[in-house]
Amino acid sequence: MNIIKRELRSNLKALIIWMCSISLVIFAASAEFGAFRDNPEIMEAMEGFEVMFQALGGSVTNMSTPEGFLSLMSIYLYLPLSIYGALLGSSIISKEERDRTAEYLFTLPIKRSQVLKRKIIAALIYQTFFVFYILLACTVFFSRYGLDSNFYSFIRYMFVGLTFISYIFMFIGMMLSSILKQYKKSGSITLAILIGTYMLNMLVGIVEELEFLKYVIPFQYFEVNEMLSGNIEVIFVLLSLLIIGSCVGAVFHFYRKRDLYI
Amino acid sequence: MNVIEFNNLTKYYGDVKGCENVNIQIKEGEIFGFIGPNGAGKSTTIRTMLSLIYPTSGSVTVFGKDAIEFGHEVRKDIGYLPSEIFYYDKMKVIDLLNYSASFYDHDCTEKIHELAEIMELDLTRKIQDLSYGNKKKVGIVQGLLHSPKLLILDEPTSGLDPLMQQKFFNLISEENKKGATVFFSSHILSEVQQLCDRVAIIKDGEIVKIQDVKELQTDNYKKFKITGLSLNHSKFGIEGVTQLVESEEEVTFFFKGDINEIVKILSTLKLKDVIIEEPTLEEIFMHYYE
Repeated sequence: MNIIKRELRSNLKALIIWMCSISLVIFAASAEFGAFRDNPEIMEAMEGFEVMFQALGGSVTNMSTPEGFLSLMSIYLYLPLSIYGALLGSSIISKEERDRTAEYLFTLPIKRSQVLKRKIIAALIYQTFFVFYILLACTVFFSRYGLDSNFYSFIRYMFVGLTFISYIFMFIGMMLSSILKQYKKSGSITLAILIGTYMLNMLVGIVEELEFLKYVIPFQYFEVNEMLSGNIEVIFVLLSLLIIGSCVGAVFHFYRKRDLYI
Repeated sequence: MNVIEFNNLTKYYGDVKGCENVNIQIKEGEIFGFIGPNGAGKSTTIRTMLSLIYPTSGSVTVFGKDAIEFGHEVRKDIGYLPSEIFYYDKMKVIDLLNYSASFYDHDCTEKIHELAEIMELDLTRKIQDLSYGNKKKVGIVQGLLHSPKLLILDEPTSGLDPLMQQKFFNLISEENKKGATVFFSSHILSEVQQLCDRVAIIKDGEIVKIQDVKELQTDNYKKFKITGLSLNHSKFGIEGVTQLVESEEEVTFFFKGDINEIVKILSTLKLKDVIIEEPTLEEIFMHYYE
């Protein structure tokens, strides 16, 4: 319990900062949506950009409903949430060696695997809380436009999508800081993977021949259009679970057996 | 009973040798010194014992249990003071100590305050505001707060002023009288001399000698300083003489062996003065590092 509490306390400040900035993003989006919705001329003008919308994985018709609008800007929820997860995951493991506190923590009467378990629980608590917070903020900021059951259904699917994607990057971060000799770089390498897959994601949206790549791009796993129509492909849920499971396995396997860098 | 047993402990970092074939048995209630210069493998040996790093081959048992497999169990009774202290910077001293205490089964509050008073440690300050010496004091309190049966000290006195050093030594002696075994690693010989019963000397990752501290001084070498006239006739080049420095007026050397041999040679010379001394531990130590 004590380790979980300590981790929660030491990571609280970062979480609050992230929550504040994402609130701003969602608030701005909701204001923007208000402007579009009340102005049919803008909507008409937007129809000219149908190709661009398709690249983003959407359609211009999405612009008229709150859930449709959210689906268009969903990458701006996925990205910060995943970046937060990547940084949290990699730092929660590597910081003990980076700050040279490993020599203290791991000479206490506790197994390495127990430390890892508690750190993972702490990270999961914050990551999940952040997902909840984002969706709550979306609901609150968009509530003035009258929300129907379609919106809440979309939010439920978004919860699944956001949770899985951000867990994936969080656990990749944890895995890299457990495996890499250059544990200090685990954060930046995880971010590089994240940005890389995001770029690919954009590319796959435009170039149809690259469709097969979608299995290695977490951002492609939970397509917003599918979610709008109340669908999630089970294969990608399984794939996400597989990635997360392998990362957790790797964390325990490698971190328990390796020399700590002191 | 042996509290610690190193059995052929070997640790390589890739191709770099940390320590090799370390064999030491440390008895219960003993204060055991571990001497060697920087980089000789002292910390490597200690960190393996604490399963911070894993041995390449060989094993360490602590309290009769394998120190790697049952690491978390044996660490309940180990107090460790690392050579460099790093704690969570933003925590207050008292919070850190309570956090440490929360990993042990019994209540340590009283002991924390008792130790802090002895070491004159301000419990309300943040770790990041502490000086090097004060951090060391936190380390001492943290290492002792659970009344461990085995104390592992890795160059514990660096950063402490002489007064605090003395207080610290008193603390260690007291814990030892209560039954704690002490493993004391250092490169400062005088403190080992002051505190330890036995000592192991480590050089380039290998143990060169394990001996009683007293024996190390008395039964081994004598330091000779002879002054007189026309002494430079290479008469002292006999077996057992080392570090011989000869000049017309003065000859100095270390000798180990039958003292009568030296007396015979001396009787043939015209002397002004003869000084025969116990070498200091430093001088003995240098001998192993020639």
